[in-house]
Amino acid sequence: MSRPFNELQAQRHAIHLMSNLLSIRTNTSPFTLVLDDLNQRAMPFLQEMVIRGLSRNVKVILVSFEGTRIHPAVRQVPGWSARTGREILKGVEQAMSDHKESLVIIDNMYDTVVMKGIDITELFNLVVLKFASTLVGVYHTDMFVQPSASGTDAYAPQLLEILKYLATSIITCRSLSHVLAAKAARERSLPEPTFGMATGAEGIVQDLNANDPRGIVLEAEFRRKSGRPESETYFLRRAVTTDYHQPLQGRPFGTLKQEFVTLLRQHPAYSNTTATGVGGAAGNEMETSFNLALTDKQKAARENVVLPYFDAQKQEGGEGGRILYDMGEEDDFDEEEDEI
Amino acid sequence: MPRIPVQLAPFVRAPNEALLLLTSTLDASASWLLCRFLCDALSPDRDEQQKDAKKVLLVSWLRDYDFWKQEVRKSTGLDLGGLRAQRKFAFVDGLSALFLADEVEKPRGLQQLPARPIPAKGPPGLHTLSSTSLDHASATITAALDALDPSSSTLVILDNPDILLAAVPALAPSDLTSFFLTLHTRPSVSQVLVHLQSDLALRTPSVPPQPLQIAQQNLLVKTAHMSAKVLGIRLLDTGVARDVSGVLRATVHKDSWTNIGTLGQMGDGRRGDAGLLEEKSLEVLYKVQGDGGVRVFERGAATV
Repeated sequence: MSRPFNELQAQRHAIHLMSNLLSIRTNTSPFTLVLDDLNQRAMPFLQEMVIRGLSRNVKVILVSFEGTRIHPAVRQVPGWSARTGREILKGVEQAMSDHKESLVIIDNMYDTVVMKGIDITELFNLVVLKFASTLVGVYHTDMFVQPSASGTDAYAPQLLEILKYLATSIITCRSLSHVLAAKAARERSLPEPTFGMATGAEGIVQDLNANDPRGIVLEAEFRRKSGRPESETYFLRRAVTTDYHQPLQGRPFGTLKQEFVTLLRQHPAYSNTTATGVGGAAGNEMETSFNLALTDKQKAARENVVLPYFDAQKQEGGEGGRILYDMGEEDDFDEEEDEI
Repeated sequence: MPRIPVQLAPFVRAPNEALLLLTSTLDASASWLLCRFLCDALSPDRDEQQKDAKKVLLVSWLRDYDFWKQEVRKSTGLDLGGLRAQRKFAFVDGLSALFLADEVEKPRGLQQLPARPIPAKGPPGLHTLSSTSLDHASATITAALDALDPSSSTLVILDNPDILLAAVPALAPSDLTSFFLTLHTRPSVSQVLVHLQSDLALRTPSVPPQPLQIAQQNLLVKTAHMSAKVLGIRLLDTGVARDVSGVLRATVHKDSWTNIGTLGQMGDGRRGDAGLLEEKSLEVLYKVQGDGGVRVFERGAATV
């Protein structure tokens, strides 16, 4: 399919897609899968969704496996304390039943499906088909899949594959400083740096630049109804109070004034060609305790040296292949070399 | 003289109401830092107006009471025995009798064991775990918490609960994280500090991957995802040095489900740069001295 857009239209279109997703417009993406890891947790993205949802009077339900203390405006279904998946599903259904439109966030898909044994299609049917609402699931990519003791699932597809297959949008979260470091390395044809646990260093759990305070980079793949995927990388900066209107009576948050999600390539630190990453790819020089650079005096002395081939050029090559070399004291002339 | 070095203060101060993770490796033990956490919460000269935890419950699965008593006295000068008598400190011993329950309890029947924690013998504030079951641990910890002075909130330190993963094959990492969260929901508990091992040997999967490695990794990662602050202790990346014991790294995660609505102003758009030292990710080197004191310094500032 040809793209009739120019660059500006393409940008506007891409931002519109993400804006719809963040604002939970109906039927944009029934099931969004958010992939995060310790280097960049999904929280800033989810937070933005929750604020925009609540400001539009969408009910937000959190099935939580990882937190107990939750903002009062968010309805919590405690997944960690429930004994069975059945209880969780019942809790979700109950929470959704008194409201027209809801956003259901699950903060750990692995525990939901593997530990509590909730059938993902059942959950999908409940949230998306029965209540026509939006489901957002978070999957931590740095967790390993525990093989079942019986080994019956050895040939079954992994949970992450199934989730990716089902999802209508996939968001991968990355820390801005890591993306910049990777870009800086790429531009120098260096291997991309690794961060946090991926470095494989003893004792390191989280990278120092993880969860960049400036904002979050979102690598998004939207799957349109036609089946056509669209991929784009976005930058979502940290929201500030002036981004929202004053909240209406009885609502915890005001509505958004103006969209502030941008494409990553619009971000000044990324589009800048001399982007220097924190990974140290820009500081390509050796780290030594002495100075390898030349002083002005050394530079001048160096430029004054007349190298042998300059002599040869002056004589216009008339002497053939004569070797311009003056024998020193320590050299001894060896005639027999050619006879071997 | 402050018992906690100034440079260390941002590390042991933690956001209230938060879950914290402390990781260490075999070569770089974390007991000195746990002692500082104890000291920070228990020292009598704390500001009265602060709402932070002023009592500590220490649950240790790998070290016994005598170890902690000596360690705390040596490094911070606090007397745990006295604090126990004041009901400001309680200790749950998960080491001494963890696997002896069957022998001790058999004549009385096992039925009553999980429900009724063994009453503390001798002085108050000392409890003993006699079973690896989490229900039993919960009941014992609840009893220990109820026995503490009810006037302020409590910091609960769980020292190496990951030993249970190895000891009880049926235990899943999510059971343990649920256990942490259940503790955290108790109204008297303000902070929960979990200390886990982060050695590569324990968590990097071999070929084929061993269940314990996967379980340890998942427990570590999931607890880190839940925590507002991750403190990691490890050796110097370049190897052993005489004047450096190790590296302490603190990474914070400010966004949580409680503070969704607290947005920054446009002026401080980059809150991370202007934020308090306690809210920043940072890394320092430390040296534990022979007398139990600890020196904390920036990289490159080692020699004195």
